[in-house]
Amino acid sequence: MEPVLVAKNLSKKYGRVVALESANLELYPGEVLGVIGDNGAGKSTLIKVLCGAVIPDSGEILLDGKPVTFTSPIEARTLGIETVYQNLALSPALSITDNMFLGREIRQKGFMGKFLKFLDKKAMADEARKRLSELGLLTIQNINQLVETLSGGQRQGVAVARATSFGTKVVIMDEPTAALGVKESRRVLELISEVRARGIPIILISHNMPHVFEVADRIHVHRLGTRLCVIDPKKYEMSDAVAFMTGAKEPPQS
Amino acid sequence: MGIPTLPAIAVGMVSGIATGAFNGLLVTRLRLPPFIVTLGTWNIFFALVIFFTGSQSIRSSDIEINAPLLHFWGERINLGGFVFTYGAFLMIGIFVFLWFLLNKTAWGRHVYAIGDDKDAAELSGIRTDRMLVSIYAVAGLVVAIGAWVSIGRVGSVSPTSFYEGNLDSITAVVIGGTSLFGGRGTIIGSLFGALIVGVFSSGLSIAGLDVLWQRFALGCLIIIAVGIDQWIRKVSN
Ligand SMILES: Nc1ncnc2c1ncn2[C@@H]1O[C@H](COP(=O)(O)OP(=O)(O)OP(=O)(O)O)[C@@H](O)[C@H]1O
Ligand SMILES: [Mg+2]
Repeated sequence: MEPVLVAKNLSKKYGRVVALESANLELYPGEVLGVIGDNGAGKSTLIKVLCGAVIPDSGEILLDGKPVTFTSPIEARTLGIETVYQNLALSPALSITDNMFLGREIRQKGFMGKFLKFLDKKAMADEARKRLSELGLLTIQNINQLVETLSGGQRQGVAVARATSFGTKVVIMDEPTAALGVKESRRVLELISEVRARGIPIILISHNMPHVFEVADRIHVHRLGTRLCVIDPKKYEMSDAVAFMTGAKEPPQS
Repeated sequence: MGIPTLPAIAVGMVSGIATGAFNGLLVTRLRLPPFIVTLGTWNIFFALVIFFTGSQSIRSSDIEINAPLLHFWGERINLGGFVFTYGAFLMIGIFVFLWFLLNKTAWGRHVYAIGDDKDAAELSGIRTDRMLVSIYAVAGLVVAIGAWVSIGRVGSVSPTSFYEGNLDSITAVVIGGTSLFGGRGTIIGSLFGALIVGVFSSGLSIAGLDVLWQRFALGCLIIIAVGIDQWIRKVSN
């Protein structure tokens, strides 16, 4: 089977800090790829390159076998790659609806929308409400509530809802459960399974080993800016994964 | 310079847009702090204005004869005993237009998103640099329109008039609740901010306060307004 998304020899330096050093990654159709690694291993940098937020110094990205270069996140998004960023990337002073539709607003039909470019606020609010309640991820009374008035977990819910509703090709999640309670984390894990069931592959970055081992089909271990190994969660224990990650144990040869 | 009035006005509007966009490009391309760019180009443009005009003023009577259109917004109309200049209606028109732009279009939402958190806006798929240049260009256009209106109001044209207009407008929007930290502010607030500053200064001069103490009072008004803005942010967090 051909991978959906391939990263080849990606490198990225910030001054003298090497964030990525010829890192590789393959994402296959319909799979959940867990990505684990120590703090500062370069996981976020890797996925930011894949979604256009960071431009690599060198290396190549293939989407459906075709080389692509992203100069901004919107280009990756146009191709159906949606991302939940570690810092969420929401605008606190805007409403939930505004945030969900930021950069892909729905315009009114006819003259008002076409020439005056008026937004169809009602359609966006309805859609946002529908998506959020489908997720069952948060109890939000008012869809036009400002994001800054939401709790940390609710904000994360909005970011996850945004990515999973619009992702058509690949969904990338960087620590999507970091701020969530037990129940909400459960819901995000279920959601990941639902997105996979829709046939959309997912990259899940997490420090939460039980979560990764629960939903991932394969686990990519990242260390010192590059891929150390890929392991099958059914064949290895969590303690093995942590040992590889920290360099306490030699990785399996693949 | 012998250009007919209408094209001359068009040149003025385009200059406004161009200088605004130039500021925007300096901010986005060279990643300079906006405040420094404002300070720098403020002086540069002022020097250019003095150079091109040879420091000459144009008398009101000359404008009246050669280019009466420049005085258009200063013309007065009597509505039920109240005298308005056409400029007042233009101002309301601009406020309404910008209100729609900010609240009803994606462009407006993106303005807020960028002010709020530029990096987040970029990650959310907004081309923040392009947007910023367009915002600066719109601001430049508004300045150009303001300059046209001011010719009507003052009558004559001097290259040094309204030299500190940008400070007055910053004062007005800050008093109107626009945050200097970005992301917060409304058109209605800015309108009231402008009215407060206008009424405040003309009130003080009608009351016969010395220009010196008018400045003093305006300075206090700015400090108080920004102080309140800071305090509100602290409390709301
Ligand atoms: N914008 C930046 N400027 C400078 N250095 C950066 C920047 N972004 C990342 N780095 C550096 O690159 C390295 C990799 O960072 P990255 O955020 O990718 O790690 P991570 O694996 O996601 O860590 P964590 O688990 O803590 O989220 C770190 O050493 C970090 O300091
Ligand atoms: Mg990270």
